[in-house]
Amino acid sequence: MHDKDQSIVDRVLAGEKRAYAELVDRHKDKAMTLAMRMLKNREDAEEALQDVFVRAFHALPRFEWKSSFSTWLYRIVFNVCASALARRGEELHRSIDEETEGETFDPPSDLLLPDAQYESAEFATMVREEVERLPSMYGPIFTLFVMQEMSYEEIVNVTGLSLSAVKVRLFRARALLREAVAKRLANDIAELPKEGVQESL
Amino acid sequence: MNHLSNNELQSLIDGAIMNGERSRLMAHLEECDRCRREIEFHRSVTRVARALPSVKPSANFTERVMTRIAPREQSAWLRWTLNNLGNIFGMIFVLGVLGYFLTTPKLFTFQTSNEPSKLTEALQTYHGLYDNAKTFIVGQAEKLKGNPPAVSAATDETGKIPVMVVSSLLLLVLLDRFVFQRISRVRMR
Repeated sequence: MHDKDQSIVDRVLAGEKRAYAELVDRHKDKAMTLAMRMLKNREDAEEALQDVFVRAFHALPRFEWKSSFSTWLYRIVFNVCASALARRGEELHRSIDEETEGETFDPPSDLLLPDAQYESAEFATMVREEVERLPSMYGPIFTLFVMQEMSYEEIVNVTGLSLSAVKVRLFRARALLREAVAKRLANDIAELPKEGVQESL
Repeated sequence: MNHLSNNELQSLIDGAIMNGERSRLMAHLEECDRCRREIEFHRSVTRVARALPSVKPSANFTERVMTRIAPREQSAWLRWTLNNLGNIFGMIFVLGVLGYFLTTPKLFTFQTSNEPSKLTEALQTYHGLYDNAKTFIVGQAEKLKGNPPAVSAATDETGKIPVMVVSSLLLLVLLDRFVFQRISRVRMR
C-alpha cells in the first residue's frame, strides 16, 4: 500500500500529472467516509473532498513521508472539514473536560444490555444507522479507529488532539452507540411477546 | 462491585491489554456479568462497523478533481479554432458569398431599362478584367503543362466555390495573424 502510493507520488512529481488520478481512486472512498462522518451531508462532503485532493496535489512536493500517504491525506480531510464545520458555526474542538480517562463506566440501569443476537442483519443495520448519527466530535474518531483501523498515535497525528482526548472521544462514541443500540434492542425485545400473542390469536 | 474503568474497558475491547493486567481483568469479568456483556457488545459493534462499506463519492469524482488540477492540454491551433468558431464560419460565409457574386457575371446582367446603369457598367468592366486575368493565368498554366488552352465552363463554375472558400480561409488566417492579434495586443496594453 505504502510502496504503491510512493511510486505513484514519484510519477506525479516527475511530471506525470494524470497519474494522480490513481491516488484519488485509491483513497477517495475512505476519505469520503471520513468527510461524511464529519459533515453529515453528501454534497458538502464531496465538495470538501474535491478541495482536499486539490490541496494535497499542490502540497505533494512538500510531503516528506514521515507518515503514510493516507494518514497525511486524512489530516487534510480533517482540517478542511473542520473549517467547513466552523463556517457553519459548529465547533469541532470544544474545550470540554476530556481528561477524564479514569472515569468508571456506569450505564443507566434501565439500559443494561439484553441478551441479544449480535450476528443478525437487524443488529448490523442498527449499528450502521447509529454510526451515521454520531456527532461530528465523535464520529470521525470512531471511523478512523474502528473502520480505518488506525492506531491512537495515527489519530493524534490526523486530528491534532491529545492522546487522552482521542481515547475519551472514542469511548464517548462507543458509549453513545451503546446507548442508542441498547434502546433499540430493548424496544425490539419488548415488542416480541406482543407479536407472539397477536399471532396466537 | 467496582466496574471496569473506561481505559480498561477499551483496552479489553481492542485486545490491547498488558499481560500483567490481563489476569486481574479476566478474573473481574468472570464475576461481573454486566462488564462481560459490555465487552461482548462493543466487540460485536466493532466487528460490524469494520465490515460496513465505505461511502462512495459520485462516479465522475476523480475526473472532476483532475479537471481542476491538470486540465487536458489542447494545441494552440485547436484552442484558437474552438474559441473563434463563430467568427470563422461568419467570415467564410460572407467572403464566400461576396466572392461568388463578384466572379459570376450572369448574376449582374439584369436591368430595368434599355440604358445600362452605372453599376452594371462598372461590374461588366470588372468582370471583363476578371475574365481576361483568368484566361491569361489559365493559359499560362496550360502552356507550362504543355496542353492546349481550353477552359470548360462547367468546371470553371463548379470549381469556383471551393477556391473561394479556401482563399477566404487563407485571408481570414492572414487577417488574424497580422491584424486582429496586433490590435488585441495593443488593446491589452
